[in-house]
Amino acid sequence: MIFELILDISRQYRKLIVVTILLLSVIGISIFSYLAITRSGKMAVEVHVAPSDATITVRSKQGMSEISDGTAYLKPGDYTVTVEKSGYEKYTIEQTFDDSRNIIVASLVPVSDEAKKWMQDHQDEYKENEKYGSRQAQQRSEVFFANNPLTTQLPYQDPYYQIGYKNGKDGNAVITVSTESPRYRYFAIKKIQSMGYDIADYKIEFTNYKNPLESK
Amino acid sequence: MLYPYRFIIIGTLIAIVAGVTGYTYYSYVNSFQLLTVTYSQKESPLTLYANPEDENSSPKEIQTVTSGEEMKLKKGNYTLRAKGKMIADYEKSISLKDEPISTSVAYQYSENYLASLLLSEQIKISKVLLSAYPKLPNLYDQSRQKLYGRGDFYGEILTYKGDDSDNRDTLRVLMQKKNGKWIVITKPPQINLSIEEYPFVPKSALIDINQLATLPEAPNSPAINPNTISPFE
Repeated sequence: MIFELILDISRQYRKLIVVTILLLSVIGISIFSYLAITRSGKMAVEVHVAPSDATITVRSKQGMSEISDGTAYLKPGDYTVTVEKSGYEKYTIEQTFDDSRNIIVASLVPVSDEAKKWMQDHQDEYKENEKYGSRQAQQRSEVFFANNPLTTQLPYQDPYYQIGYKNGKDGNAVITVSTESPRYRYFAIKKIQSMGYDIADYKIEFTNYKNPLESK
Repeated sequence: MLYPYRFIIIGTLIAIVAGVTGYTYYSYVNSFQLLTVTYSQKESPLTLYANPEDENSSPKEIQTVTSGEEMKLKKGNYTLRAKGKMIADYEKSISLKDEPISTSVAYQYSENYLASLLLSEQIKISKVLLSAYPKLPNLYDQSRQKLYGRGDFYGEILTYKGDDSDNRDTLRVLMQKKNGKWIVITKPPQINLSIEEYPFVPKSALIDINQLATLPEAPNSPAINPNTISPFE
């Protein structure tokens, strides 16, 4: 019964159905080809800004482009990201995008009275951004540990020396060796090597060392 | 049944075929990338190898690289290699992706060649180092003097012989030849040299200079050498 009804409708709108199917195929192929070409070599970057209508600019060696809140497709590499809107403090950050870093989060600080009122009325938008901010922080810490693998095994505590770390420039760790004895500074370096790390890969600060050649 | 729509069907099929052909052509063209390498061909020819996807297979030789020549290659992983009497064995990995790569290769000299160069540079180097640190000969013994890179970096080890036993650590000196003149770049000499502090120095040089050396004895502490085991190991 239902089958016959469908067959009957199909006969009645045969022309329309055929044309629609063909048209959809062409549109589908066109969209697929367009996306495949324009997104070739690019990666999806999540963009979360508050207010969401702020102007977001990404600048790299290849040039500058404007993106919007949502998903942007960018080539992996180093970028300067600027988020701005009238009445808010301009936000600029140097960011690297790759497989493990693919999120932009910015919550603009209101300056004008109008912007402050808007922020009060749209607290939910800012709170939502905090969630993404913690994801971004986690990504950064994962990258820090991946770039400075020795830090995953620190702090190391020996009865006569301690090996720790602190944040240095450009996401690099500075390794700290604390002991008053040159003997144990020596063993601390040996310990780092025995963990399988190359000491040339890390800036090491010896907290209790006074270099005899340092000018006073 | 479909006769009245033949033009629409044919047109659509042509559009589909054109789209698929266009995309296939685009993918083919897009599968290549440009690589340009500039280097001193006089010192040693550079050979390009394609890295196989199977890690157990050995790289396949593709061609000898002509300096400055633009090579159109399939995207993928490659290795540049060179060997010569005057130069140290050279190897560099290159991954061709979405952007063309233009790279310059500066060979490092072989250890034997660097040792012969040091003979003519040592006096000038010592003069500069002693003028920067006049107290150095009284406080330290100098050893393991070597040139690195293309003879433009110099390193040595300083073993303490002064009275301050709490700071008798072994230090590393690094110097660079710029515009024909030697300058000390470790100011002051350091216990450990890192690539972060000296990014312009070949890493192989830093690794060599950083090698553990003997720490001299002190009144209550015997000397230790690289083979000494920590009491808590």
